[in-house]
Amino acid sequence: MWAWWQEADLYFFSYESRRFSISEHAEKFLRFLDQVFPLRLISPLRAPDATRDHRYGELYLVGHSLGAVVLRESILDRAAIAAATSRPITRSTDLLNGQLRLFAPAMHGGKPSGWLGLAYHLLREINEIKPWLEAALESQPIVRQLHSESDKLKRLRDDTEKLAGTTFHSALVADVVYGEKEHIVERDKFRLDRIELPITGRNHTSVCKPDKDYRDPLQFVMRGKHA
Amino acid sequence: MPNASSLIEYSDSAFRPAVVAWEKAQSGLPAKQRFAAASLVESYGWMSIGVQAGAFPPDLARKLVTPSVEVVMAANKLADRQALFQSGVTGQNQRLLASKEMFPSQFRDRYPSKFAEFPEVPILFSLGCSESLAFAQSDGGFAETLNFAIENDWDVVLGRLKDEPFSYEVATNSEPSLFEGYMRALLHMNRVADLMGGEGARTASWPARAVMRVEVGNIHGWRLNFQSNVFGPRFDAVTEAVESRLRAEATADAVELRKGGFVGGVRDLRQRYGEALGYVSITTSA
Repeated sequence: MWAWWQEADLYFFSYESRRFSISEHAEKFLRFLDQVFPLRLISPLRAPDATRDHRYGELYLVGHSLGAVVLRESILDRAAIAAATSRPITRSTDLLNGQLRLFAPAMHGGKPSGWLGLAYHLLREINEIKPWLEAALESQPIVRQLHSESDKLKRLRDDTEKLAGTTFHSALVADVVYGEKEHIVERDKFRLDRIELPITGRNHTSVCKPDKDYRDPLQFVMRGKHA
Repeated sequence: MPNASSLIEYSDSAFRPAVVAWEKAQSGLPAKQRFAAASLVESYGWMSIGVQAGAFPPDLARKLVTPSVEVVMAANKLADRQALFQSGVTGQNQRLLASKEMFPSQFRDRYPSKFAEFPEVPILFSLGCSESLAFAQSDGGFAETLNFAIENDWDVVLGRLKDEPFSYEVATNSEPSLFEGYMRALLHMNRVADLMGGEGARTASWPARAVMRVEVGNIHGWRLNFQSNVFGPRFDAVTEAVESRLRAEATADAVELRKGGFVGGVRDLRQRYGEALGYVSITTSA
């Protein structure tokens, strides 16, 4: 496993989830990706290495939570360009052949579960308790954003499933995994996605954080489902 | 119009099972006997309110109760001795059961001026009775445990609530947990308060509804008996344990909870429920 990781270049794209809409985050991500893939970004401070190819052979797109939604929106954006055959293709569609790995993706909206979820679903009709439950739920930035963009999420699902069923782009089909203690987002997948069994003891945040005793995320990125 | 089939259905689903449970409890622990007694007194009480509201035909009600009159009398006597009902309703029941009538006369005959303007009383009775029955059958032993469990058993149950992990799996034939029973109790309080409250809840400005509220409170209030020094503190302990569980889960998921918000909301709900069942001072004389 380590040899595989040693051969890989890792790029981390960060975004401030509250500042932009999902479409705007996707556009920003695509501009970033176009700078580093498929041609390797070469530091001007380093001498060119003639022994290494400057073109990447593989792309793995890895997203967590709302980041997964940004990735799917980005992929859909380029897949739509590739599918519009009567128009000239002016932007790279190389990411469509990449592998998509998603940890606790927020594509299906917020859905509190566990004891808090049970309380939320059962007690919302009680006026004295409803404001407290709703304030609690809305204090989670992801849930707030998902509520505000629920129509967008539905379109993302419909359009991705449609293109995944009619084209061969690998990035339109994701490998998906959630933690067993997922309490923030609804656990689901798009129709052709491959979903892994939930990981014991992991929640929305910890499912994608490897440590010396928890290697599952590294395996999952490499191999996807059944890692 | 009184509805005979509704009464038979009620008898089959609530009254007869309560009689059987009482008989069965005679060989059981005192706590079980007290719970069975209270359940049977309430069950007879709903039949009585149904007759008074004009929803159940009195003659048929008397026929259905007659074979079990001794049993219902015994349950009322035990409830009386143990002061399970604070309103004196068990003494009144014993007098009625000893008489030929078995039930009081209809509200509209006793309070003609009040009930003449309240024709929906049978509907209100029907909704209240159905909700009460549904709660009794789905609270997972919540009312029984909080009212009657001995201290050692109570400590075990409360400890389990504090440590019980959430599971998506529902075990076959499993009883609802105390957490679920508590949620069901909150829902029940809300529904009863909505049903029996509304306009005139705080004053006697709607006297017929006030009469109904007090009658229902007299027979049903024992299940969530906040005036008792056993049930009230236990309910508060469950509320605090539940908030603690919710808070722990929320913290792990970066959800912010307003301090005391849940406990305060439950306290307000409890107040509204109490008012709806006539715990506030309301004049009910004709």
